[in-house]
Amino acid sequence: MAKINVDEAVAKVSKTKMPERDLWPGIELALASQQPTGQPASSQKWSFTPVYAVAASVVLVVIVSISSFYSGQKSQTQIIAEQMSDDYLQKREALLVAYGDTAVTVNDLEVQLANLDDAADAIKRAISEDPNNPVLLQMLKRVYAQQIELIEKVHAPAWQQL
Amino acid sequence: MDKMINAPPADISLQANIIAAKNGDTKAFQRIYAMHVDRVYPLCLRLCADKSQAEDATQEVFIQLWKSLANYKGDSQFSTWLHSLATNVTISYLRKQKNWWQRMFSLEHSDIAQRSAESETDISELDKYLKKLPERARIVFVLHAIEGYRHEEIANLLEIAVGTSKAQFHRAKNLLGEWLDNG
Repeated sequence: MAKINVDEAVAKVSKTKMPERDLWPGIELALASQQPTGQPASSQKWSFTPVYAVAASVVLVVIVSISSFYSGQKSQTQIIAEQMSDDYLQKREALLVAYGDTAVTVNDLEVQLANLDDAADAIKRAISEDPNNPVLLQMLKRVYAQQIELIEKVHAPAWQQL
Repeated sequence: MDKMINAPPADISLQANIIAAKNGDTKAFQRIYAMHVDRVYPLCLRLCADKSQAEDATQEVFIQLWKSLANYKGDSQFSTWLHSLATNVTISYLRKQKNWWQRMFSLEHSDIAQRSAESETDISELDKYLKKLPERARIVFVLHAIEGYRHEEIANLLEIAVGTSKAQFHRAKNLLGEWLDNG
């Protein structure tokens, strides 16, 4: 008797039910701190300094560029990548001039920047072969952000002492 | 590609959203969430037997889905793949909770008094009684009777013997039978 009751009850159980509160905002927040498809997020903590304003402007330009990409034609990817590159080089030059050569505290800055330059070049080559891939733009954006972060990290102590 | 052409519009939409989400499109991922949350949440709710924990576990499932979406190759139905992921993530989530092992191996005590209440009006009679079951018996019963897992799979998931899984299932079934009879 009991067996039948349980089996009947199981058969009546609903497999669908919505949660009472909207769970998406929490998920979205978690996703924002992670790279898509399992790429590790940067472990560096973010704190605001005037120097970061320059980096933020780079990010803003990139975001605007990517927004334009999504609303426009996909063939614009390469143009956007070139704009990103030009903008990054200008910002990088401005940062290095602002800090001055004597402020450099890490000897291998140029080596690390060169490595990241190589990575950016490789991504740009990939974009030329796969011009409609937004992930490549994201990667390029990330590399440029890393370069800005690197310059700031190296120069931050001298800058803060001024 | 032919598969996509012949598939129903909903499947095409899902496939398109999966591809976009794999490329980092969170809006597409949000659409996948909207399509599946009503199936993931009840699974989490029955395994956790607690509304608040079920909500947390559901969020964790979709965060893990985002991370592992690249692993989905389309060999099986997405809903089946997601269901398996949801089960694993929820069990893992429960394992991280305080007193997991104590609760798992305590046959006579359950902490239902401390569980946040689901509104009792919109859940089935069986769901009400499921919350009263000891943790291990409940999880085994939910996985076997409701979700269709084999005892070998459950034993593997919970790191228990197959015989233990079967024993817990029968214990849960007998208790539920008694409660349903008397309810």
